[in-house]
Amino acid sequence: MSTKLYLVRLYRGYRFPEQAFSWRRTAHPPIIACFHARELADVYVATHLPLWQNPFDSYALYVRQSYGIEPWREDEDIPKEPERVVAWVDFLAALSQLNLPEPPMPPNDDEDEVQACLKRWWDETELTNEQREALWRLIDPKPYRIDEVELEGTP
Amino acid sequence: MIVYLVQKLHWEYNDNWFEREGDEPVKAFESRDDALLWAELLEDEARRELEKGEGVGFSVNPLRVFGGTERATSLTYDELWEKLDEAGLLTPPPTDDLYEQAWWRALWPRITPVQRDWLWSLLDGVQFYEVIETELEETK
Repeated sequence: MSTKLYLVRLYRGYRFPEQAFSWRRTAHPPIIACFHARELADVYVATHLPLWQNPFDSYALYVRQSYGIEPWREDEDIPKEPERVVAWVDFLAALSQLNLPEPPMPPNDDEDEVQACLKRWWDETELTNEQREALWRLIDPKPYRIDEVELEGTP
Repeated sequence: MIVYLVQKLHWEYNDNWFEREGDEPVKAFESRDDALLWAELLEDEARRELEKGEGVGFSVNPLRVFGGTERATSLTYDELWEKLDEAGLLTPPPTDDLYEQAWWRALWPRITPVQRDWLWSLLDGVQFYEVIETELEETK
């Protein structure tokens, strides 16, 4: 007899692989929880946001590609993933709705600058846990992965 | 309750060699021994595929494609050479070095299954499956 298990993993950042030319998520996210039901894994992810982790503590590329925040959506040179992209102004509006302080406008559209600006803002602003949680909820995708696997040997 | 996960380790070509790039759980077991046995069977299967050149078309020298001795094994190049020499696997020797595809292809048809498994055991940096343990939350 077999049954299914759901494994929750947490990515702790990004890395630039040796000899490759793109940033990637850490290759071996540790398993932090394991459940019999998918719903429980989903609840775990929703209620265990990594509040200690600066969501912008990676490289600017991910401000757009992974965190879905696009400061200058009108720039047609930047490839778009419309379903994941949030314009800078929309991001600010969402922060405002949550009563979160507004980050300073990056000095230019260089991705490194945008990332550095957001990272510094998170580090230097004394956000409460509630604010951190609210901010993490804006960010998609979450730094989690849920894998399904069959468990053998259940009597 | 502890469960034992068999994970497939993905390797990705980085324009020079294959490097580990992520993992994927394949099956979980209540028994560690069952998990180890399952992983061993899958590991053998993956090695045979590499030897046959699945997806590549020729038998691939693991030293060549997994980043040389510094990544494919914990042995130094000289230690590996010595061990292969002692086992009679360097007759005839490679023209230049152990990374030669021609040497590997000439070696493979005459290698015994025991020698083959022994050689793979030296390449401890090249692994296709692993077993890890994790705790199942008591929520059922």
